[in-house]
Amino acid sequence: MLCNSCQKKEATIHLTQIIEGKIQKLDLCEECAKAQGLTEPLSGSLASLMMATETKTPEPASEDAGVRCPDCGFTHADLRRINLLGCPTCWETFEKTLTPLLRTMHKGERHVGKIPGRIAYTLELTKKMRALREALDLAVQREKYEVAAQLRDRIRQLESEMRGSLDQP
Amino acid sequence: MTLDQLLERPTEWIASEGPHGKIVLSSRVRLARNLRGHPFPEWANRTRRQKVLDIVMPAVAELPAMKEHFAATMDSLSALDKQLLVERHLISRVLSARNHGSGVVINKEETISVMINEEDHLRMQAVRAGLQLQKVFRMIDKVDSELEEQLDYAFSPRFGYLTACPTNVGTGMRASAMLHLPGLVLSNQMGQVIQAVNKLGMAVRGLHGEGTEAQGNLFQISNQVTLGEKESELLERLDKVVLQIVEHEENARLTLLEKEPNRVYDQIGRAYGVLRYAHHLDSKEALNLLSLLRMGVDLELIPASGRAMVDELMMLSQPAHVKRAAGRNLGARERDVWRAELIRGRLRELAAPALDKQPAPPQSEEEAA
Repeated sequence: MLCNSCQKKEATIHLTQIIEGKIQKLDLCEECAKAQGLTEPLSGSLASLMMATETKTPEPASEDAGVRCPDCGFTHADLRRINLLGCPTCWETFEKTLTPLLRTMHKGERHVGKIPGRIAYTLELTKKMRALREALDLAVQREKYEVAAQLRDRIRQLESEMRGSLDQP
Repeated sequence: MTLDQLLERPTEWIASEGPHGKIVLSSRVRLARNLRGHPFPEWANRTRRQKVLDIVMPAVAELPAMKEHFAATMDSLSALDKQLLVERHLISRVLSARNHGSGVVINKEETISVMINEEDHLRMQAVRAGLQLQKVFRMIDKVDSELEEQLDYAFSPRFGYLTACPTNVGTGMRASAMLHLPGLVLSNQMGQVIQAVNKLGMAVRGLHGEGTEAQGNLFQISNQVTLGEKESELLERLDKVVLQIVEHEENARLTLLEKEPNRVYDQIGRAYGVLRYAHHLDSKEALNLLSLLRMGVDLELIPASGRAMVDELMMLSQPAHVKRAAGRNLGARERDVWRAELIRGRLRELAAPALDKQPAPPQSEEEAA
């Protein structure tokens, strides 16, 4: 988990305070905590600190600043305003802005959990395809044209399978 | 089925008692999913939201798990209906604020509910009594896998299930347990527990989730991370953390009973007295006192049948449920009178707590103070 304030260093100080019955949470690195006068946990005013950091949206990665999502028209300014993304494609469009943000809130930046069955199947086919292409290259290099022809047939078959799996709703 | 039919039935997770049921009221797992090629609800216009609702609602309603269900679009529900569903934890406050283009499908046991066009296109959750996160996850995972055959989910091999908010991306899973922790609150240890839990990457929240107050000594513990860890790992970690808190709570209660028995008896006795004889109770006071009564059941000062009664009253004494029982719109003060009457009536069926005697071992006044 990265520091909420500088978003660079690992947060080692974790503060929680109940303000008017609401639980407020803040993760800071040692330096930022000191800079905020929070050497002792719960001694500072967490409320004012929360105001300062929580509303902070990711700084635009310069490449993303003028970008508009081709699917939904969402811009970086919209992200700052509603703090949510516009559509699934926005994840690709604003990848550069999102990646550092993900590091501050999650464990790593890559999904390792459940995969929808149809996509798992497609991923499996992609892997198989890569292996076949490598085998084909090798066969051609070694001038084993009979093997290469067989491999080419299997690649074509796999290609049509993959198209089929992607076309299905 | 109609909303009335749904609400008439006892809520499964309240009527039954699950593992570690003295301290863990319920386990809940929700998954966030979205459809490829459709803008997220907050960014979508009316037409686009309606389109998603038209695709998702029939697909959910036809699932085997939802064989008998209550389904409604949000614009067809009154403000009271929505509040009833919020109080039952069947929909979120975010969904209750929506109208056109959003909806919900709930199974008749109230163990599975699927919200459509909340913050994401789909927010599906399962809930069970006690601590059984794995079982609850399997329930909702099955629903998800069945829906996946009909719906084209937005998924990226790198980011996982794509969500409107980056805090949910990856597994899209938020698992939580609702804990009743009067011992830790009475012994002023809750602050420490919250800090320790936060350090383990888990969040502590109040009764109705994000940004809500911790009333009735009820706390929700949930995972914060959704990306970079598997569902099974997240559930296992949460399970461990919850078990540790359960142990701390048990210890806190034992210590309180040993060191300050008079204080414990006093709190429970007063709670019973007020609930049994008050004619005016607001929902916050009722919930806080019911919490102490529940602890009285756990400490065997009140008959065991009291636990289910207390849990039911915790739900029925909420504002919308009181209005519904009255059958008409009530002002806040009228509601407090109705609430007190409801609770008095129910507690009449419960034997008075065994609190007459001085608790053993007796304590001197200084020690008890």
